[in-house]
Amino acid sequence: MSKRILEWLNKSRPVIKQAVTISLGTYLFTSRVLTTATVTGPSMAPTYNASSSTSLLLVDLVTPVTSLVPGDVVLVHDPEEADGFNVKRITALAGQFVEHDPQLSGPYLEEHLYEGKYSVPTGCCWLEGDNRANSTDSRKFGPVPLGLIRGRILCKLIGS
Amino acid sequence: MAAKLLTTAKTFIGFGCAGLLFYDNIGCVLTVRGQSMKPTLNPGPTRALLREKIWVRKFLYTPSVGDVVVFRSPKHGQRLAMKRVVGVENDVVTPSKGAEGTVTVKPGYVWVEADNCESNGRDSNEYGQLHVKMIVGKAAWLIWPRFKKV
Repeated sequence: MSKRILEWLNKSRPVIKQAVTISLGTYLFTSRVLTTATVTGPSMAPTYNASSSTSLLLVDLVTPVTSLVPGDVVLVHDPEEADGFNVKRITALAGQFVEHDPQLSGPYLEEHLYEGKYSVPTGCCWLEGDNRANSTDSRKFGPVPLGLIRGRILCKLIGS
Repeated sequence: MAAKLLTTAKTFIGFGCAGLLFYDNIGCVLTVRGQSMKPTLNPGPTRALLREKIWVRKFLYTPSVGDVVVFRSPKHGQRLAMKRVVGVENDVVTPSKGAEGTVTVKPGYVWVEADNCESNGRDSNEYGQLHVKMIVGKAAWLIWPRFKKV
């Protein structure tokens, strides 16, 4: 019985080799070059909508985080959880000022208060969802370190 | 002639990709800089070849208290920093500098501090809790100029 299995394995070696190469190559590509992301929440409506059908975004992983500018939509690790990602728009970079939302409070934000506006600290950015009325973003969790950004959203692949 | 070049090119690309896969998922070697982890890890003489090198383990790594971790700096988007994990999620930590009182570490975050309290190394005392996804790996072994478990 095992002899037949060994024979089969020997015969399929080139196919197995190809399959392994293709899978590892794909893994490397999707972890370093381009990957996809699914929109699941309402925070980026109407730009990107979570709907009952699949909604897929193309993510660029190559652009260095220091080349990102306000206006870019990014895939970022969720600052409120260990796992999970968010899709949000960069509205300010380090050193720029954002409207201080009077509903936010806490010592960390107050120390950067300047004439009623909040200055984004070094190494961080300010993220907001396009759907400002229904988005949990920097207005709630504060500035986000650039190191949490995974990549930049290029376009919609599928979805409305 | 062309076929041979193609094979050589393929081999190079193959090794390159294998190297990248290893670097991303298994671990890498990094050079120690900065004073913040003395005397555990020391920046050495200016000649790069003689500086202390560490093996950073990335494979299946989750941070635990006592680990020295390498992470993307919250203050410099592209630089790496290295500090010791003093608290993980749900731990109650007393910051060694700065704010009075205790801090409860949020899930998904850790509290890191420098071993060398005299250094001006920035750690959680300055920038607060560190998100675990900023962590690249654990400084597991000192590999040059001696072998020592970190």
